[in-house]
Amino acid sequence: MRSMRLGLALAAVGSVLLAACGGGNNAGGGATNEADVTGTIRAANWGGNPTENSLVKKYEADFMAKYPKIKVTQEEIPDHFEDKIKTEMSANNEPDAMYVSTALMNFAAPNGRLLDLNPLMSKWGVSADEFIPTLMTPWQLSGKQYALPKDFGDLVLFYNKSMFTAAGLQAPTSWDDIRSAAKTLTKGSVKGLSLPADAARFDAFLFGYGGQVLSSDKTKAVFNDSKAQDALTFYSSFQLQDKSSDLPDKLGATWPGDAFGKQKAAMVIEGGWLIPYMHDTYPSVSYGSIKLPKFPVKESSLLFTNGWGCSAKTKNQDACMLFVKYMTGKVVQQQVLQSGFALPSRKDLGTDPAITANPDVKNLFDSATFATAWTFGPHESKINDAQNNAIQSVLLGKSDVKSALDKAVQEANSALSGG
Amino acid sequence: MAVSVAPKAPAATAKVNRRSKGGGMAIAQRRAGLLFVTPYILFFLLLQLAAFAFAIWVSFHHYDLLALDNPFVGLRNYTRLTVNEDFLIALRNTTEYAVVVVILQTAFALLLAVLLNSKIKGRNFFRTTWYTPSVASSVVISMIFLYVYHPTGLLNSILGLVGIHTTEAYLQSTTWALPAIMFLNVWTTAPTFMLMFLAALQDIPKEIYEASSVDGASAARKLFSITIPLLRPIIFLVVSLGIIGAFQIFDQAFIMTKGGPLKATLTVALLIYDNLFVDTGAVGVACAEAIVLGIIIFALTLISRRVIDTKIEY
Repeated sequence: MRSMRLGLALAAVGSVLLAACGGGNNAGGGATNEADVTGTIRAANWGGNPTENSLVKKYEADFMAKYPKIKVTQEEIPDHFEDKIKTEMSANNEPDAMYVSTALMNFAAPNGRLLDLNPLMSKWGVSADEFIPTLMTPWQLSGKQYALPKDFGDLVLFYNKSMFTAAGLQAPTSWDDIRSAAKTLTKGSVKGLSLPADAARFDAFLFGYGGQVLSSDKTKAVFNDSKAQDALTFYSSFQLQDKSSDLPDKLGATWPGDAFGKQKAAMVIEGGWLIPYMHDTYPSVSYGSIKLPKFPVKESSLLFTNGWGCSAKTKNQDACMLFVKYMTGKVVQQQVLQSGFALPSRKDLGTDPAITANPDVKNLFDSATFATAWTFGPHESKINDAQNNAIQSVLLGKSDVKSALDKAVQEANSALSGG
Repeated sequence: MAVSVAPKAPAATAKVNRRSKGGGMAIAQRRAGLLFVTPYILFFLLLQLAAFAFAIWVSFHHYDLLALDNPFVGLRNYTRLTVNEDFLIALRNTTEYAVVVVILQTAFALLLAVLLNSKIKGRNFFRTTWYTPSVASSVVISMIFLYVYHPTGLLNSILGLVGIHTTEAYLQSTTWALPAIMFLNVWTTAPTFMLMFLAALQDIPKEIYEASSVDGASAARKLFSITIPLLRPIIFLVVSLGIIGAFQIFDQAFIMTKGGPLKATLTVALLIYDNLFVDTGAVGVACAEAIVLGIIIFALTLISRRVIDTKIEY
């Protein structure tokens, strides 16, 4: 039984003690010319996807070709990205530049572990106006800018064109259409839809029904009011009432996109990442997309964004900022867009032919106008766990909507109050 | 019994040596001895004892991995555990898991050992194949079992062959997820303990069996009246190692279910990990949980010693 030894957990804590001293202060450097900036920076990226990882490697090589005096070492973290960075931060051994997810932002920024980029942005000629405003706010805290958005993704509805055609159905335009199409397309082991027990999908419904996850001052969880109950009742009705949806793992898939590719689900609510995935893994499946139809209260979608930021302890602030500038700049983002991984966070790429010529990409890009950034502050992992458990217990038939949400709100509130 | 006798013998010889031979030789030997154990002692002091002491210290503080100030909170981390729903769920799951796994794997290991100890055909073949699961890394085994338990995986395919058609997703079911991990663990761990039993079985003097045969004892009678009583020390070893391992269950649950669905496979070690890394502010709580877990394992080992490892006389 090679289970985790008690000692291992303790040794992890012990490393905090061992690495007591650390990080010197910023040796700002007098360089005022980009070409004069020197230094070596460690740059950590989440490398869960081999294709994305090799793209990052290429961009970093391009960067070093452009700035020969700056050396970048790529540190790929395949899984548990935030856990790894967190441990490195506590040991004062974090990389200089890193992906900043909203989760990372939420624990690192309040503890002063990320570098405020504002002064460096003006020094090196980066303007906040270059980026889509809703994508800048997740990285802001008390007037400071802790990262720049490198790209974003949001949710639309993808549908299997051949299955729709075979059943004589048109592309849906409303939730009523989706519901009846899901019923029509459910046959045997194939479901019309696959909605997972995941707050990262459900919250689009929640916001569309006028609900909120947190109160406006973000001190209380409120996702158990009547609007939230209606949203979850609707979300679960596909599976529980119509039997036209099922969890991806019940369909023999690892995630909804997998079920969609295997043609076990005719519709899924996913983001731009589905496009290269389908291209690489299930190239023969023909599909289309629509923006999520208007919910009873408003149009809604969720916005997921990642940024590049710097450690507050980096000794090469200028080099790090130039790196962030490059990785969020037009050259890189245009390539990201063409690779199909994510949408550009820059305004100047909104009219790029890669967006305007591809209806699926255009749907995704346009959804950003009404999408809400999916981030809930320092306690979001607990809040999302609570939400996920509520959704799961409803979908597994273990609990009714109201008591599941009440219990989840109670859990989230105890996390928010520091319990 | 090789295991229990081994540590005593060298100590006894050392004592004799020191007394019989005088002066320089003994000191040189002692130095050499110290030199040999130093790497381990350093490793132990630094990475185990220091970390352990630090964990105790942390458990009395509100400790945030990234904060600079970590105030002393006395016993609060411990007292809050009694009302911490996640901890109670984890403790219940872990206990349930440990009880089932320890009983099954001990019984299963003994059974396999007795079978191998009898003169069956192809003994070496069985010995090798049965031991294989214990050689592979638990991570690899867990990955393989993800496919075994998959709705269209091996298990359901086999069930299909015998006429039971199901697409049950075992690891996504609150009923089956924990038993699925239990089964996997019994399967991987039992062979290791089988080897221990086998070694012990071969130490039991043949004469006792012969004498009992003369008295007309049946095979079952021999098992329960001779084999099992004489195996007591090794049963204690297997049970206590089993308890220690089972209460620390982490990797299988971490890889296969992440504690889900609905906390059905949330174990104490998994909760410690979550508190440590996912929730940065709860390092103190994680350490308190780790120490409570340590105390539980320690206590259970002592109890099992009391119950099992009693002297027997013939």
